[in-house]
Amino acid sequence: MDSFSLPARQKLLDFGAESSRLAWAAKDRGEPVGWMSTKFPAEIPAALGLVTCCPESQAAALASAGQGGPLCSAADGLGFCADLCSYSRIGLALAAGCQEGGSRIPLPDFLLCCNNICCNMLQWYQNLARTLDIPLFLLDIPYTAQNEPDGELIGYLRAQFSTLTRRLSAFVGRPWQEEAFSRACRGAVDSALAWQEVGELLKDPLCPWDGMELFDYMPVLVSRRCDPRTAGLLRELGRELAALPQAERPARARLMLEGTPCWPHLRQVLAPLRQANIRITADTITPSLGFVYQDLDGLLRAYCGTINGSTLAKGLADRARLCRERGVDGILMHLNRSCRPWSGVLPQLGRGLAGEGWAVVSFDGDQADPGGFAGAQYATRVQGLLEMLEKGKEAGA
Amino acid sequence: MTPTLEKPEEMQPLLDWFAQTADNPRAQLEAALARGEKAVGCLPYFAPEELIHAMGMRPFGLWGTGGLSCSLSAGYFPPFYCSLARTSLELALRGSLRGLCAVTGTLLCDTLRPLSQNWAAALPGLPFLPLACPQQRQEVYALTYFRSQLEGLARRLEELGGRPLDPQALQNSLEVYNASRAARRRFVALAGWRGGLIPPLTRCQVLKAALFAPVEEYLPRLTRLNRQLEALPDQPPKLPLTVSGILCDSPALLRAFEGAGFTIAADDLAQESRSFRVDAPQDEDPLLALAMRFCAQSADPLLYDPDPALRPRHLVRLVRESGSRGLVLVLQQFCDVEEMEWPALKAELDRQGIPSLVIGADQEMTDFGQASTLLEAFAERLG
Ligand code: SF4
Ligand code: SF4
Repeated sequence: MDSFSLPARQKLLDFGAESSRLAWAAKDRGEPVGWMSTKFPAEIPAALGLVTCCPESQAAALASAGQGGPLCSAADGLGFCADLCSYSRIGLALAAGCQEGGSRIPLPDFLLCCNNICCNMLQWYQNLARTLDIPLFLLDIPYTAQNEPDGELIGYLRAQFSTLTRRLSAFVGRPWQEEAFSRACRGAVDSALAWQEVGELLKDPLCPWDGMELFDYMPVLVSRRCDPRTAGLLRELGRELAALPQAERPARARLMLEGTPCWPHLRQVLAPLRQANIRITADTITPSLGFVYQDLDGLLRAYCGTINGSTLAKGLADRARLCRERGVDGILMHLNRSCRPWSGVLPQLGRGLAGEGWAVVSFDGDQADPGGFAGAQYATRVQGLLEMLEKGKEAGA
Repeated sequence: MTPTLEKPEEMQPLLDWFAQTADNPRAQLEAALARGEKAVGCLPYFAPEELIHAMGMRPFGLWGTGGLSCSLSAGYFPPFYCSLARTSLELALRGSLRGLCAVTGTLLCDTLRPLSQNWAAALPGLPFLPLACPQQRQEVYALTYFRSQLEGLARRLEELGGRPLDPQALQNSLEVYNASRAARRRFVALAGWRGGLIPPLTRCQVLKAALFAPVEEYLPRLTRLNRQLEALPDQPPKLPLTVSGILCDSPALLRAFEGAGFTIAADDLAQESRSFRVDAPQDEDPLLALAMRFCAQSADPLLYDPDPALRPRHLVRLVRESGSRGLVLVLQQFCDVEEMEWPALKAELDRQGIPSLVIGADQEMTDFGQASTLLEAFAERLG
């Protein structure tokens, strides 16, 4: 038995895949369906019993399935420049009905947008609102370049929260109930705790599975984090993973993957690592979904603390801590052309991590547009990383 | 055929002053420093110049620079970054901003976020004072929030040697800046209706000088220039045009507009009209009035409008009211903000029968041959 054949894995994947069926079913019942940005507080639609789809998760799934190229070309045909974030381009192409054989997610009746992860999100959703002529509900979390949100920001967010929930509940014609909201929050926090527990397993030097597998469960964490069943399924997964026989020997090296995976070329990215018995035991994205809080202010604070919402100094400290906890030897940085707020700090971040003793290399790519990746450059960089790691070991010995 | 307007003799020295000022920002900075003033770099967009001015400091516009090849900032930004951020950081890394005591900037796009962070890491001696801006600008709580951010900025400026914030001083600054904005709006309207008397490059220099000159020196000169223009009769230009984009200040590109026969009748440029469209209202709390000025901005691609049709409507109105024959978008390469909205804007312009053209530009660019060809072909289409 390996991690891929665990019963809990399949259950979680099925549970995640159910989201789009639920959305279509809601649509058929005549209920409004929303598109929601990844780090919009999912607790809000959950409290109103609304079904939402996340176009970024959808774009990632489509890119993994080889659809990134055709959909990016379709966006190009609609006039969207190839420099734009490819998740946005795919989302725009889906909204324009460009997917052959029909979209996996229904078109939205309303939009839930939070700009805590990037400014592009707001521009993208504004564009969707303009072209689809549907309402946009915005939770504005401005980038402050501070390590922590101050009291004024929390006040601004609290005021928005109450306006937004009032307007959204009026739009969908469902009453806002505090009890339902608390239930959604409890579910989200419990899912986050269970998610953290699964991630912790990667600390074990003889952990037999690769951290990249966590990405398979991300859609569940994004779309169904408030569902009370999520935590149960994650805990089941954690138990089954923990019960797997340990690896016979530690991996030759343990890496952190920095940046969104290069979905269209994931196999090519991972193959040389597998061959060299190198494991990915840390990444930046999956831990970012394990946030917990106690009350509304805590929730708002948590949603401020996104990867791209942080300062470089805090980002460096968080990554260094994660790398230490997960026994990381080297860092593979994906200079993802799509994501400006992220890629714009990577060179400096890389220097910071190298300064703390980690071997760091970067490679060019894109999260969903297959055109951004150069196989030969990647192979050379990985080779370079391996050499740095070997040298480091010799020096250590 | 309408006779070409004669430029009054006394106009040239004024235009020379604007050109000198716009083309030599460093000289302006040196002059301020020689007078013992503290200068604060104002990165795009919507820098609260009035606040800096009221605290006895000199706001100094910082919108990158043309023709600079970026070698030092390449260590911070990947090559697919907009040149405005890259050249601004490059200027600082090369020491060309020596003498500034700080820079301030809003963080309204995904390039400005990392710019603030790279700046802080690379230039600890030149503090970056970030100004967070709310997007829900029509709500009262956004005003409260933004006012608190301005107050925080004032505290930082005071720590850096600015005078304590005095409400009366701020009130005076709001008034003088409102007057400067009104004068610039008036100039834009006049310049578009004086035949080809104010060519694109001159128009840009007149407006750009406001970024570097003390408002007390700029405003009386612009008022004089406006008076001279008012004394001339209205005359529609041959090919009036609306220009949109972040900025269009490269002399070579502006000459290409002129070469193709265009006069800029209206603009929707962030460096020009978008920055002086809105005045601060009267309020007994001048800091709140300054916050209101930002919150009253609209139809700007960096900002959220609850009515998504506002922006396309605004552009159509701008073209129509200025009598422009078409619109040219000068698209800064890698500017996702402008790239994202363009297809929807273009569709609306097409629907309204307004011809449009996109020209890619970049501050590192020196050869505008292709832009020239495109502009000439566009002029032919409109002519
Ligand atoms: S990839 Fe980056 S730019 Fe694109 S939506 Fe995500 S955070 Fe925003
Ligand atoms: S030009 Fe565009 S990408 Fe660059 S700073 Fe301005 S808005 Fe941002």
